[in-house]
Amino acid sequence: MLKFLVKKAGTLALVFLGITFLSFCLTYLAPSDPAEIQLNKMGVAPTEELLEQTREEMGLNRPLLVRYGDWLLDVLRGDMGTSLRNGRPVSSELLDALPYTAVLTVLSMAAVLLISIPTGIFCARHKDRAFDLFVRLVTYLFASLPSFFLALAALYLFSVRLGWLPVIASRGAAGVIMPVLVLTLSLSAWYIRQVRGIVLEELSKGYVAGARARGVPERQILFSHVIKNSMAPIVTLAGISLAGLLGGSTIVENIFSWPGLGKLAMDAISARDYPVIQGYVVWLAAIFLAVNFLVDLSYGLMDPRVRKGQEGRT
Amino acid sequence: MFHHRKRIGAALLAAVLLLGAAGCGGGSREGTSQAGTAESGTAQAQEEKKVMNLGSTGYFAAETMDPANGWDGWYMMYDGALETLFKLDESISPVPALALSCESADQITWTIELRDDVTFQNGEKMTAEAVKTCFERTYENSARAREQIALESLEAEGQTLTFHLAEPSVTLMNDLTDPLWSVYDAVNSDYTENLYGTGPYIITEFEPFSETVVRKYEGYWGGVPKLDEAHLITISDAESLSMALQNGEIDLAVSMPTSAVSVFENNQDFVVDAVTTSRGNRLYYNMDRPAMKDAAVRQAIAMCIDREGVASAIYNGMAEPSWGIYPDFLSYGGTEGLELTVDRYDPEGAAALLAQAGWSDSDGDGILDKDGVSLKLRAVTFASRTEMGQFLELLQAELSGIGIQLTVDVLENTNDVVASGDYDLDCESGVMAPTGNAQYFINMMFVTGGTSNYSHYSNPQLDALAGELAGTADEQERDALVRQMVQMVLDDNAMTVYNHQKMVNVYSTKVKGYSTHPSEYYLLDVNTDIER
Amino acid sequence: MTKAKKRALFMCILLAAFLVLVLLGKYLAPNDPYKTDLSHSLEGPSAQFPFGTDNLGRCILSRVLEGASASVFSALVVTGIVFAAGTAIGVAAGYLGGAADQILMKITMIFQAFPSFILAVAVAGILGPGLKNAMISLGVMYWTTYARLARSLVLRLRGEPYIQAARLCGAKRRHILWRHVLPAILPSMVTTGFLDISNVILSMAGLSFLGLGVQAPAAEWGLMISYGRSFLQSGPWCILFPSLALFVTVILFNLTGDCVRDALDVGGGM
Repeated sequence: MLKFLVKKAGTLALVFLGITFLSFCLTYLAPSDPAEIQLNKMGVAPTEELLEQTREEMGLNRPLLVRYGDWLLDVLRGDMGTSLRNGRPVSSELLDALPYTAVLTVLSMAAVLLISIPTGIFCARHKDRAFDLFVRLVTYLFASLPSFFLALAALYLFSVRLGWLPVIASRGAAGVIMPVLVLTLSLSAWYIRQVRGIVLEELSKGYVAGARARGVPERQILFSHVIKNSMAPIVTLAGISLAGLLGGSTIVENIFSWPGLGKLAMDAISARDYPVIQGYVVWLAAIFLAVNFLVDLSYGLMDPRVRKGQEGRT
Repeated sequence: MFHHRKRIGAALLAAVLLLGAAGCGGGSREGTSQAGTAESGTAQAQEEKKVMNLGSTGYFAAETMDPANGWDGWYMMYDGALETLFKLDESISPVPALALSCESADQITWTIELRDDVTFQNGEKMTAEAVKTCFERTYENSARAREQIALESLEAEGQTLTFHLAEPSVTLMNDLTDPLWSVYDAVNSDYTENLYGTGPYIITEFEPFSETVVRKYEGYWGGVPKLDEAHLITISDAESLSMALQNGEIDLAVSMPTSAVSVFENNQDFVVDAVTTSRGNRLYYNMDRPAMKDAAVRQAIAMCIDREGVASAIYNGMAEPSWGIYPDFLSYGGTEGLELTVDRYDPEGAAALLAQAGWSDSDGDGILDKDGVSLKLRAVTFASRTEMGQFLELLQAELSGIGIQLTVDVLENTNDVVASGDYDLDCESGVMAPTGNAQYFINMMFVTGGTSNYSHYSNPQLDALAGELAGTADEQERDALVRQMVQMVLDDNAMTVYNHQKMVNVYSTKVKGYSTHPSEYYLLDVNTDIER
Repeated sequence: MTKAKKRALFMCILLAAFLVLVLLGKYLAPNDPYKTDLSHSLEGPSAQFPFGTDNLGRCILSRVLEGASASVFSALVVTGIVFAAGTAIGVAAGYLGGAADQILMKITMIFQAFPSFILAVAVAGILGPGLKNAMISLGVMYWTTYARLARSLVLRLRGEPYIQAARLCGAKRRHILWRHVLPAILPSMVTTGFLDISNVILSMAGLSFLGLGVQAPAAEWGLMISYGRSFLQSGPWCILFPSLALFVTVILFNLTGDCVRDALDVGGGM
């Protein structure tokens, strides 16, 4: 187990390095020159001479890897630079927004799991029956609706027409309901179908037919074998679907003015605030990585064969 | 068997859904209070305290708590946190506020007597010395302040503050109504955690660009403020703003975007309070750019603006189309007696004008060019006023009809672009005579090197007239000078003011003691109240 | 022909007809989609403007038709490119094995470590808005799916007796690759690709909705919905019809994808 952990941690560190490197390189994609932005900030008209001088001062002339190394050390110390927009440290901007996104994500994730796993299993077990067909239809429709349409429709229905829920989500507890609802609906529509697919595949395996032939009760087959065996891919998918939630939150947060990371990122993008965009990417990737690492661990715990298999391959 | 199983399944699902919902509700309460910053106004507390919620897309968007920084003083004046020595009355004339009187014999030395009963929100007395310290700091930190008043020195004794100017000014009282000259305790304020003004409300929580919370200041010199607390909330888009008002989440929407006004007209629960102001929606032509140097191009663009159509379709009738610079209600405003280079919507005329000026599509790309300069232009504006982005989109379609390609960038704010000079057209919106004094706007917009001269316009004759205006006291002579300068700007098409927008505040009928002020300077005051 | 195959064929024909409609959309438009006419500002559906107009008086139906190519074909192009590139990388990794596999898979892993839409938003946000940049950012976001899937399919195949037999018989690598490996993995890959198109369409619309995709005044569904937000109450048709178009398109691609999957008999997709 220890060996497994060490190896996992090694991969984790490597991927983290990759993430930071990619994020660092992102700013190279920017059409504008950081030195020029800096000069504009100070209200100075950029001349070639001044630009060169500023680049020198900002250390932009050093080799890429050296700059990356310096930047990475700063990041590891928690210093992600300062926002071009308001001069605040990027990490405090992100820290202020993080709890909001965390609340949204955790609640939505919980709702998605609670709704999707039982529904998916039930539908697979009763494939092509009325309920399954109904769920398939509904999930189809919701999976095909863009989340921003769902959000606008929910706003119109629940706030304007019915007056049940607030428009400005960030004020008061009731405000969280609508963003969570929208995220949950979009993601569940996808997740229910995945769970159903996984369980169906498991049900089609030989041992199920064998067990049936031996007269093992359906319920026992389902609960003690099929669901148990399906759990690993289901949990892995839950980890992956976190990406969907975080991505969806970008749109939903902006529609509901929810002051989380997605809203911060969009504000930063419209202000061309590159350090904040960069910080946002690094943070979300790190969070996603950490969660999936935990999922991986639980996966290993759930199914020792996987662990051995992975060890055996290298 | 079949039915049985199905029923169990349905029950299970229902239970799970309920559980999910319960988990949602319980978790959310816990969650948001952890995350909460602006949580002070929970439902219970609102019943005990008189709290008013105000929303706007762009009027509460202060960047810092420093009155000397940019336009932040303006925002904090809105909050009821700051006051000025003089304030504007309903007819945009200055009347004493924190000052009692103002005298000058030679228009160079001005003696201002201050009220004796005013304290800053930390309890310190407002003395002439304190005001002097405050003004010196603002003057030091703000280029706009230096542009506005040519200050030589200040002198303080007891409650008497004396201005020594570098050159005579007839408009000092007007100038001092600008929120930039608001009075705050410059000794004890740190501008990040606290700011001590003299107004009826003190800022208790401040989130840059998003929310300001104010609490009543019991020691206010003008009486006890009616509200206990007010939340000034920036709501990012127009539709959310109007829905929040419909839904009762906010009681008053400041500057309701015109697309949303129709929802509230003919609704008994709301008051649509529209006041004509000198807010001009305008287009700057950056004359540092090769294409924009050509007067014909500027004029052609101005001819492609259907000002009546824009006012009715984009601004829902909440704007007056303009063919001049200043609105009619100002003594120097309107277009009477002016010679207009552009007096109607005339795209065909614009095309002819460009052809006459030698612009043609010589390289066959569908875009006009001349001497290697192609009419591919970049227009910028900021996002908080949706109408402006829509206006540029309209202009884009109009201009493509006469062979000009316009790229439109709607930015969070235009500060950076304007500083870098990377634009041909800049669409802005602003009050043009906030203090009633024309000089202010002329110095900023038209005089060579003015801080908001985004057209980079330079006309020595106009500069000379602006200098003359500063030394002229007679109202009629002043108006004549302003009209002369307006004529120059129109002749050169240095800028196009396509309409004057009304200030539209919409509020619940529960809001009392409030009416929209034509100056756009004031919002919360000691009389603002709400019935719960 | 099995029932599933017939159904798949029918859906493919339906989809093809739809794509033709999209392609011809420009010519079917009753009005000029970019023509502004302030005298017809924000009018509800009528004979002249079947889907109504926006506040600049532009015909929504014509804009929906015009926008179809930006919304649908850009997604098809992106999917096509990531499909080809991802498959190539995955097959290379799986087939070559060893260090090449390790490196390629580590790179894939790093890209997958980013929550997908977030990476797209950041790339598009930094590159600046525009259709090309939005397509690049979606490509960056989607290629890993194919690389991983192709690799795992190839790895599974390598152990198959008939491949090993072919190798033992001295068949060339290229021969095995083209004659045995690719045909075997293609059904799964194509199904995944099909089902992904709708995701790409939705992501593209999402980027445009956020202002990171196609820029005004171009007619694109996500952008139109974003523009229509100001008229949610005074002119709901501005949002409704582009949303409906998006919805129908996505449903159509999803249904076809499902039918294709059933016909090719390849499990539950990803």
